[in-house]
Amino acid sequence: MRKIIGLKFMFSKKKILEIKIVSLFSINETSKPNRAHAIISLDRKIIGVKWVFRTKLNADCSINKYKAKLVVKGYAQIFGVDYSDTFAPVSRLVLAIAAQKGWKVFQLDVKSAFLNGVLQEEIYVEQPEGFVVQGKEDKVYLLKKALYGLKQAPRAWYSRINDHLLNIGFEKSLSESTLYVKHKGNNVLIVSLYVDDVLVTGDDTRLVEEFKQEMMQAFEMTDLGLMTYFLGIEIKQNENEVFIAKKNMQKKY
Amino acid sequence: MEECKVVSTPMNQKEKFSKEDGADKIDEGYYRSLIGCLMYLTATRPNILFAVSLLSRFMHCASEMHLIAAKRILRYIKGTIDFGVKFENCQEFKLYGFSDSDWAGSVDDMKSTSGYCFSLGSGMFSWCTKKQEIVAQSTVEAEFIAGTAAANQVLWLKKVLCDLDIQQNDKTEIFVDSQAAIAISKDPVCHGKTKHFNIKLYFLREVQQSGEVTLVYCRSEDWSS
Repeated sequence: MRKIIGLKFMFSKKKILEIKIVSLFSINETSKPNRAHAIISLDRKIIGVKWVFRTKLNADCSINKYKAKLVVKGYAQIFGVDYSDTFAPVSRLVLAIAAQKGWKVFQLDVKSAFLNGVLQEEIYVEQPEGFVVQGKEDKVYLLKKALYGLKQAPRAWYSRINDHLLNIGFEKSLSESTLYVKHKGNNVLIVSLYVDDVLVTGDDTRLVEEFKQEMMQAFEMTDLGLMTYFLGIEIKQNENEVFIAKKNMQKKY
Repeated sequence: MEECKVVSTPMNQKEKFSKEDGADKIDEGYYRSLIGCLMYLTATRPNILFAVSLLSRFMHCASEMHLIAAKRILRYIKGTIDFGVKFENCQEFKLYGFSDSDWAGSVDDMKSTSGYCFSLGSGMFSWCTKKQEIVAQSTVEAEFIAGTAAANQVLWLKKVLCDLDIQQNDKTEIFVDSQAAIAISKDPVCHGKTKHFNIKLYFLREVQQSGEVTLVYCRSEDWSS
């Protein structure tokens, strides 16, 4: 049922979606930067795909945006598994340090993060529902970049961003692989990753700005500014004080 | 639940839960989604963590009793809706933690539950509660297992802090409310009661000798939280 509503919704907004879809598939265009696929016909094992629809909410429960995501069937999505184990303490640790030192924490979001992951293997998927190219119904897509749902996707994305961060002078924390630190002179810059969310803080705002620019050049990103809402946690940053709560989430029941 | 009365604690201290408590079984889907939501809240609320994780043990056999307890947590949340964790600038920026355990709190298998939390001076930032993997034969043993889990966490946190250029060279203090556990962890005393603990005993002794961690007594009444 949800799928039907989703598809109807999608087609009613087809104009907006077509732009996205074109950038995703590049059926007609060939020079899009985020080209994920190339169309191909082949006798190989093909993986099914399906659409997943999601409404993204703001901290105050108002609607932020509707998302339509093409996922690969038959594989479990595995990100988020160890969230409570190590990521939550690390993100709170970063906040505690920032509060102590009077630093501000900024948040960046990578658009369609997994689609940035470069695949090592040849993977073929069927044409997605609603976007089958006429006259080429029997053809399939060869994936050039990862899609959501693919087992390789989180790994491909992680190694991509890991390489990038190491390239721009970060050192990876040995005991926590989502934590990166960069020293420049006497200044320090701390970056914490959670899949496609990037938290950054440091004692020099110039360095933070510089980092944002470097990231923007490599990936398509949104700069969410000061960290206010992250994984459902509301964050208030004042001078030398950070408060975290989940006020709106608690009103659900 | 909007009209409910507020309670001041997330659960009844004396109440014990078991898998088969004789009460009517309830809709598991609802119970699971409720516990799921409460779990999500524990990212900013260490105060309900124990109650939530206790109730989450009954996801597959939820009864009226469990649901009533879960709803009590909601009533507690209603009265404390503005609660969160506040980090602020403090005089002494140093890692310290608390560890505690109950004893044979789980009626079904007589296992105990460990808990610990850590702070850098102001707000708590790392917390955990977990049912122990082995059956503790005494309260001291249960405290000991909790202390070991906390010491493990200290070792990891120290490494992360070191990577972030915030070295913790002093011994990290873990406050424990059992003098016996501290005594045993420092010297080989009470052999009769401790001859069966192996790895954990030596581990806790070793980390204290190497100066990474020290267990400090703290009366239950002095707990700041």
